[in-house]
Amino acid sequence: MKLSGFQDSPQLSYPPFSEAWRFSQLESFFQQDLSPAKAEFTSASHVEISGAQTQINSLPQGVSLSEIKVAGSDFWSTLKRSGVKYKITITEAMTQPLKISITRPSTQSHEATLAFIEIHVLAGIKASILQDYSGSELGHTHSETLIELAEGSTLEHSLSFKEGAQSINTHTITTKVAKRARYEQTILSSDSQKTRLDLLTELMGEESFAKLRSLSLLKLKSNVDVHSQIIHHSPDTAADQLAKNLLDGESKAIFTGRIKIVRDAQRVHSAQLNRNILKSKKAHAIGQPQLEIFADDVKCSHGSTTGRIGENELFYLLSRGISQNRAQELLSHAFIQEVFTENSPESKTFFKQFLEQQ
Amino acid sequence: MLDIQNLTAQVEGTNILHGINFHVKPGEVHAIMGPNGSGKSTLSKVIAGHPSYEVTGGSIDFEVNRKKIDLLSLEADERAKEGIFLGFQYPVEIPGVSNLDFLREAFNEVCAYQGLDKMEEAQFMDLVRQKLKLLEMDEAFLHRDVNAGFSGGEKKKNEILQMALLGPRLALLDETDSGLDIDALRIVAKGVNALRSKYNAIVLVTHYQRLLDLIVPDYVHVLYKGKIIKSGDKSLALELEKKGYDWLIQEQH
Repeated sequence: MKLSGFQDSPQLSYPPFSEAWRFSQLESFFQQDLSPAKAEFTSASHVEISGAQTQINSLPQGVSLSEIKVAGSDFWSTLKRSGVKYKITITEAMTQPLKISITRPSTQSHEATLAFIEIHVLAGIKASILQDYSGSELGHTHSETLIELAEGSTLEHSLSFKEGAQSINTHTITTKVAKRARYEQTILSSDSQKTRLDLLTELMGEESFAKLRSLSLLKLKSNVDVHSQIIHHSPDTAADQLAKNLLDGESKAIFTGRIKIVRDAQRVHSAQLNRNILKSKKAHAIGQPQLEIFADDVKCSHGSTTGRIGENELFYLLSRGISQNRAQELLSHAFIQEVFTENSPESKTFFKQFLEQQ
Repeated sequence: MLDIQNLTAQVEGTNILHGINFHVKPGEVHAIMGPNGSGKSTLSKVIAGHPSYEVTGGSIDFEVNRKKIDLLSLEADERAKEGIFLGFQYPVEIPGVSNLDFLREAFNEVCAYQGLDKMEEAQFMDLVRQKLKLLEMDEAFLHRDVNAGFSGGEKKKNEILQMALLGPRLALLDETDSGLDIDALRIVAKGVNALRSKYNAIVLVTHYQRLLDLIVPDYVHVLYKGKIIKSGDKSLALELEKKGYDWLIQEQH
């Protein structure tokens, strides 16, 4: 099945041909054949997804999993049916995190893989999900993750993307956070020819909170384009976002982040910071933080910084006898670790494995 | 030990030091005083090798174990390995690196350079605990990130902890007393005095006599507009405390 019908589909969940996509031209993506993904679901221990080969190992307590049924014969339904599509409901306190591994089958051709995951966390439940995407050098993955957090629930959501240096990928993560619920997202991504991440976080109910952390570690001629939108629909909501990029080689990172506060959503606290470190002369970062505020009693901050490793930090380490190279390494490590400082031990271990392979 | 001749230096095109002559022998404690903007911090950073400061003339020689080294030919980390320590006026925060890892990293690099065997972890921890005790610091300090979220006093104690561990030949302490309460000042002074020996030397950059009551200097120098305009013994600091700098500055004109 060819993906070219994709472009004309009215159900397409985003329009890839608008201003917001100017840094991500994806024509080649639509010329591809479709191949099934491989998925695996298990407890931190994990779920592995691989199309026909989906493996459901022993799930952690409190997790129910079902395949999403797609009706209809239009292009989009047909397309969606060919992908991995699962609904996960967290119904009671989890004994350990659920791990979802989505793997693009190993192939030399430019094939595409689709994955649709819905996550529902029921009221008052505390959940943790580790979700990783991996694939061979070539190919494309498109994924959509829809999350709904019911009143008073908490989700620690750790995501890693390691999809091959020549791959082209598009991922959307859409989260709705109800009253007094808490969403903690951490994203780690590595080299790919192109990765586009669309993050939409909607704070629906009072006293809901979102903490978003992301880090791209790029060394090659890679390109990551992160579009984040945080919408405060209710008063007394809070969000805290830190988007970091550590860029070497000829890599390029784009961060477009918007905080939107609707009318009457008073007493909102929202902070957004984009930090980029350029380790080579050819690395490139673009930061575009944006605010759209329609309420008058809010506290917001946003900013973007781009630079080399700080001279003062470097001198501090040198003045203690640490050599230039080692000091650079330590400061890069510090830049990376800041993203994970508040994560649970399980989440830290999940990312540590990823970082060790870098 | 330290022999500075006619040193001139600039930062971002502005000349700060205009011909410094300064000599330190092992076992001595020197205090450098002077009005704000006179070049005190610049002098200590130039000795430690901060890359933003450009030396435009003169020389700095450093002698350890009867070996004379041209300090200006060394990078900052090499100077530290030779036994120079700079206590920062504003210690830098490094979130993401634990204090213990930082101390171990620095200690191992300095030991390796000086040809010493790598210390066993247990032995290293014993040494660190001993230094923590000297500075009345809690072990929890080790597991916090370097200076991140530390109070002013904690940051300065952390500087002295690093110094105590590295055991430098020459310690340059740049306004280590600023921002300290009376108790913290006493503890910091105790840490510095513990380093004093006939082999080591200490240079204190300070504005206040109160530090010099606790760490008694052998010599006091007044720096003004990038030059040492007066040197004396500890009584000079007492005189400055009473009379300020004006009388010295007027003597210049």
